Amino acid sequence: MTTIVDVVNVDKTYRMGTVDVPALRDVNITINDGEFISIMGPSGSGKSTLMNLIGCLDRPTSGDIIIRGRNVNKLSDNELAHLRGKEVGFVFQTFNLIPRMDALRNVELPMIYQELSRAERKAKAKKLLIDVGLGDRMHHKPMELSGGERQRVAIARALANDPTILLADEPTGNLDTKTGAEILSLFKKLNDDGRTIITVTHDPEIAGYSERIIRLRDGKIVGEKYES
Amino acid sequence: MKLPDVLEYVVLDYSNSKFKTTLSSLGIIIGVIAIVVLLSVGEGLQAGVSGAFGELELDTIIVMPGGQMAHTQRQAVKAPAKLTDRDINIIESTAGVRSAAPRNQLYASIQYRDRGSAASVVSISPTKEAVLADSIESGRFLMKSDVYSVVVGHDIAEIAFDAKLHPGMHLTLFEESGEKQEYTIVGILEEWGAGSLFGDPDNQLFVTHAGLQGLADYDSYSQILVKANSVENVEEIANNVDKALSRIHRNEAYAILTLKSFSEAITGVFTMIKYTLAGIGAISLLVGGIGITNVMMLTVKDRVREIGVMKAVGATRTDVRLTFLLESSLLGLVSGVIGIALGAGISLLIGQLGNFPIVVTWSTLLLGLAFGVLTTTVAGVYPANQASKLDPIEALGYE
Ligand SMILES: Nc1ncnc2c1ncn2[C@@H]1O[C@H](COP(=O)(O)OP(=O)(O)OP(=O)(O)O)[C@@H](O)[C@H]1O
Ligand SMILES: [Mg+2]
Repeated sequence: MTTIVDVVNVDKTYRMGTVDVPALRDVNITINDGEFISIMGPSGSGKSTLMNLIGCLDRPTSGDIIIRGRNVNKLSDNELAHLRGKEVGFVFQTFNLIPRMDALRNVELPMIYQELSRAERKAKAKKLLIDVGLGDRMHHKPMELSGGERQRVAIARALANDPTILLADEPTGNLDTKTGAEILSLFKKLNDDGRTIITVTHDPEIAGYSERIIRLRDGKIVGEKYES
Repeated sequence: MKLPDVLEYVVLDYSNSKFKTTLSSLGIIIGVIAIVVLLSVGEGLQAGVSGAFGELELDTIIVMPGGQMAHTQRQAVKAPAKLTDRDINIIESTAGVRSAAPRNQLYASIQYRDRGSAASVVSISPTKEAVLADSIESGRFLMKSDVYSVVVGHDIAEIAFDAKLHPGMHLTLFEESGEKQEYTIVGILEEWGAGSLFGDPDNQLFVTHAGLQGLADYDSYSQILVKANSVENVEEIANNVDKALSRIHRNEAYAILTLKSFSEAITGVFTMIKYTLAGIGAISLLVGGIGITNVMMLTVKDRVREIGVMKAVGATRTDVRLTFLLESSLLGLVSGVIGIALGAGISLLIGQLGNFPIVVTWSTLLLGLAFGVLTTTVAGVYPANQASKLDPIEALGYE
């Protein structure tokens, strides 16, 4: 098994004026290729903070994040953006689609920044949308899609550059139970195909799908459980 | 991020917010229009002036008796120099001089049959007036041996009398003192249009020096038109002429003018006027540019979340900066094209309505366009930088 993400002695402290708010303390995690991991914990325990660090959206206050052998601390802002675009796919609770663009264009976006040719990325985006079951919704704008459809566009977009890791921060938080379950089975399918998935969730059912559950409290890992 | 993709993004954005974008470009469009119109008007003024000089050619040096005022009270006023054939010979043997054409001039009443009019009568040496000789429309030019022959300017021939004048007709001229003399028309001049420093050939009569003696006694010339053999050295040649004449007119006053210095002074003034006008245009562009900066700042603010998304899916700072900068430049390009089109149209319209010389040149249009693009590009730098510096997590609204 190859290690693809290494979180080593990571601290993250937010500074609010003169007050330091510790969000993560001495966190260590090793994530292997093909894992499906759930991160759970009460509100404010640092789940999103951890996701953002693994997703290269932010840098740790101390400690190291190593993605496929590359230490985030040693990369420039532009290099970090490249790494993020290539190795990480993000699925957000609020979807974060660009409202002015149709589904196809939203899925193309990450590939634009990796400088794929126009034809290549159009073909790829279409295929991804068909894979998530939106073959007939490509030219709909986000406003013209249901919540579940939007989340599927977001998943297609997250997969655009064939990322090493798929990160999902409460991906079903804004969906009803039934739609949530559909999204969940989509994740399960992706994981079965070999994709590494890390998801934040409050939902024990989602956690049930995963192979490993990491529990956070007050910025610390308080439990790690492997499902069989 | 590849350039065509940035463009595609920007165009997509434009098609989504046409109204706002168009409104915001109005400042730039107006600025570009102002630059084009004002430069065209200035250019027109300048061309009008150079046109008037072009007819006269810049190789001309004018020598006149008197003219120079006493600069101080102590300096005695010199008597005006008498310019005669001796001066013509001296001038013509001066280095760099091609020819020296003496002239006299008086104002006379004209009678044709029972109709009267008035015009200035200019006496010339026919062999030295090549430019006039070339502009004969009908009949012939004066010859050295002519005495009571006259060549008539275009407007006098056409409109001064009920009937059009033709070669072969007779005119009687009356000088103020009462002297009168009958002349035969030998030729009519073409229309010159613009007047010149020497007056307006369209409204003049031309006779030989011998012919003018029929009206008044002249023992000197009122003007010598000297042609230099090169325009570049005209000032130096004028100095040579001055030196040569000063030897024989030690205590007499005469003036030497070159058209070149005159035309350069006037051209200089008009160049200044032209750029002052363009400056006014530039100020309106500056105001427009500030407007664009504001609009781009609003655009960035509107799209904070979107910028967060762009960054989250792998856009670098450079990508974001380029996107917004190009959006701003493109706004300038589109506004600039609209601005120069309207500006050219308005300029030509002003020219038509005001019967005013307007010259719209390619360089004016290019300058207008360049200023438009430059302004919006510069105006976009700050907003684009702000956008590129946004923190992705904060931009996403703290996910
Ligand atoms: N940008 C920030 N500035 C200041 N404090 C922050 C910032 N982001 C997070 N925090 C703080 O860090 C701690 C962890 O926040 P985080 O968002 O990671 O929690 P979470 O586990 O995702 O909570 P939730 O389940 O509510 O989403 C919280 O106390 C929060 O207030
Ligand atoms: Mg959270």
